[in-house]
Amino acid sequence: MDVVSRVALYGPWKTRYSCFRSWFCRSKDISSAKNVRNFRTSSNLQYIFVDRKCTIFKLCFNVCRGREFCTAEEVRHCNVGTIGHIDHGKTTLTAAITKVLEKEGLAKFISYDEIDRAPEEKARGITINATHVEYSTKLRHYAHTDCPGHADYIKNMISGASQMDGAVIVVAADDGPMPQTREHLLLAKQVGVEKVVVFINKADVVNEDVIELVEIEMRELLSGFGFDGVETPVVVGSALLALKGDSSPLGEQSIKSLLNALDEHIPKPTRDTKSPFLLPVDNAFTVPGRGTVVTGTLTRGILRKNAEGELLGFDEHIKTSVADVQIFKKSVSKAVAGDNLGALLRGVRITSVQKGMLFCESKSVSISNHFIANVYFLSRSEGGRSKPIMSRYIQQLFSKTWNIPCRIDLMEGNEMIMPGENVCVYLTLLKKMVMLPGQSFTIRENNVTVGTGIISEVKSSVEVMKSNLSKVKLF
Amino acid sequence: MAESWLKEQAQAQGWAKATRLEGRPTKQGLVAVAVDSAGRHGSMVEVNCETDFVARNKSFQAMVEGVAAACLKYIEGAPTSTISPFTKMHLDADQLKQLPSVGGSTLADEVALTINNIGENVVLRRAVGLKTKASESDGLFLTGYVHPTPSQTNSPVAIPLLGRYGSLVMLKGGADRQKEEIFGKQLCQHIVGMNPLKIGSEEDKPAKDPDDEKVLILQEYLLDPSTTVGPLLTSNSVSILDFVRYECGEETLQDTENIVAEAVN
Repeated sequence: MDVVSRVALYGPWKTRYSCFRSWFCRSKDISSAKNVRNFRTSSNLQYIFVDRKCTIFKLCFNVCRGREFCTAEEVRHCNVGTIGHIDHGKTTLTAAITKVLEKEGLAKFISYDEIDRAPEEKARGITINATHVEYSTKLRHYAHTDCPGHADYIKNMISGASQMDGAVIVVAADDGPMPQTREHLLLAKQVGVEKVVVFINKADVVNEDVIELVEIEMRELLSGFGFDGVETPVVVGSALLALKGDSSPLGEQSIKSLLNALDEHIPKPTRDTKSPFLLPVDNAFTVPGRGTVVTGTLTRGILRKNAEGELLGFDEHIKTSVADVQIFKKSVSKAVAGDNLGALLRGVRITSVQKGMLFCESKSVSISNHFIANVYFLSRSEGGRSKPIMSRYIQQLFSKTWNIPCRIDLMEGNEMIMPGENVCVYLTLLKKMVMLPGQSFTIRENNVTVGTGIISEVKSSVEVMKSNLSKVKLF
Repeated sequence: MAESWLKEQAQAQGWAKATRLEGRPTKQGLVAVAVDSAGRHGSMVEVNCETDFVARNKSFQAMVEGVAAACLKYIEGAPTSTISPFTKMHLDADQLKQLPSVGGSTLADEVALTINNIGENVVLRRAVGLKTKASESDGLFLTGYVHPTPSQTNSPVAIPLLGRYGSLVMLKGGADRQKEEIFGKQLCQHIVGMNPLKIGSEEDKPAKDPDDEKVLILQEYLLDPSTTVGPLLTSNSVSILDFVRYECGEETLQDTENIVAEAVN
């Protein structure tokens, strides 16, 4: 597996987890460990959740010259999902993958029954009907999701429970693509999956001509939905044979080629250092004699000393430039995406800076109070509303470190939204903020979360007269 | 000849597959509502399938539309009650299977064909039909609504509407039919949204928490929470005689009775 960073922790094995946690917080400069949760799985993988982002470390325990110590390596991670018809062997394939990888010590075998039996999982109050299975290849760590339906996938995506980086489309050779395969591919497009891998299952029960036909049909379908029908890897095999331990090309070897296809075809997430810099402000304070410092983690780009920038948010629009950049209390000439930094700003008063503002390159992002978003409203059984949501619904919106009153309006053609549904809506905020496509938020009513969503489009601002959202004319 | 042989083959395959898949759980599906253009007859059906991918598929949707149309045809030909001003008929899964489809076979045959095509279990769950007497002088009319609202909103009323929730309402109006029909649609929407359990009468006491109100005439009106449904009916000089609400995959009273019966046995 690719190693991002490595640490050696000394001390008795008993205390190594707390050691590890405090090292992690120090290295990432996380001051409050409140949002940090860590737990370990049987395969010596250590998961650390900060807010909702997961970082995974591989732990190795050693004894050296009579001293116990442990090393932790951060590994690359990827989320994949299986999509396919109910009878085409998604679950068998998942079981077969864990079986084959268990031989190499890269996964724990999970039987068909265990996968099928665990359909419900509670995540942040929203019931996610998904099965999560984990395994590793030599290259990276995978979390494998299997959702039973369209609505479940969408819910998964919106609530941020798992963002799919790639998908395995499973199709049985004896049936070929089904009418609803179109809906499966449409879904993959909708949740933002760009690369898929096709697995033609049950190849042992038909002859080669049929397999070729299925492959051609699948490639045509993929091209029709805007995937790369030519370059997409198609793996032919039988999950059932692999599960039985058959080492023929259709058995275990097909699973290995599928995993290779995943490793090669599904892109590695990269840190974006080319785009204009973006720094969400976590905190702001005054350094006596110098000026105002804002802190935060650079989400993209490179921040250099003397860079020109803007502070945006809460209707404010302040032009400034960077007098100094510090990482870990040391002055540096530049900071790259992922760095946690402090930036000293010229000519900015502390009273005009608020937590939740955004510091970015001049004119690189726009500030607005009007957006289009994809929202999932929690059902009654998940603690959401019992009544439907109509237009002009005004409640508090929470995102990142800020919250602000927000009005929700339905799109034309939607007359109401029932709890438990996901839908595209217009958002109108009381004040102008920076919200970028893909940014997540929640809607709360009387201190109860009733909806969660992600921004899909930024619209031009609308005028809010006398801070009254209900009187805003949108159309 | 060859064509009819192929059709027979498909039918036989369909039945074989349908028998194999029988008993697998079906929680997803569609509710379809069909009302004739005069508002004299209406039907609502629920057809279930295993995943919502199938519910979004065109061929499944076409089949459900066919089922709703077949029910509408059946209710048009059914005898009218002589005592009550309107007739209401509930159809269970077995009765539905026997109904003739628009194409000439039975609905059970149509379902088997669909099962063969999409490879998932499909179940005709329930249906309800409402009809008024033949004369139009009684002022009775039916309106239907489904949610989520289908994209083609301007379609003629006779074409079935498909969604996850549906409602049918029997109203008695006065003179202005056009206005009343719009109001009827909004009432249907209210019923889908607020899920009342009964119409209620003047004797019903309001619930302690207005959010828990299950009596229709005492509920806050969905489109204008400042008023309740009762006064609104009076001011529109419309009375509501009956309503039915379907939610796809919901537990019905029948289901609960079956479970209780099984537990007792």
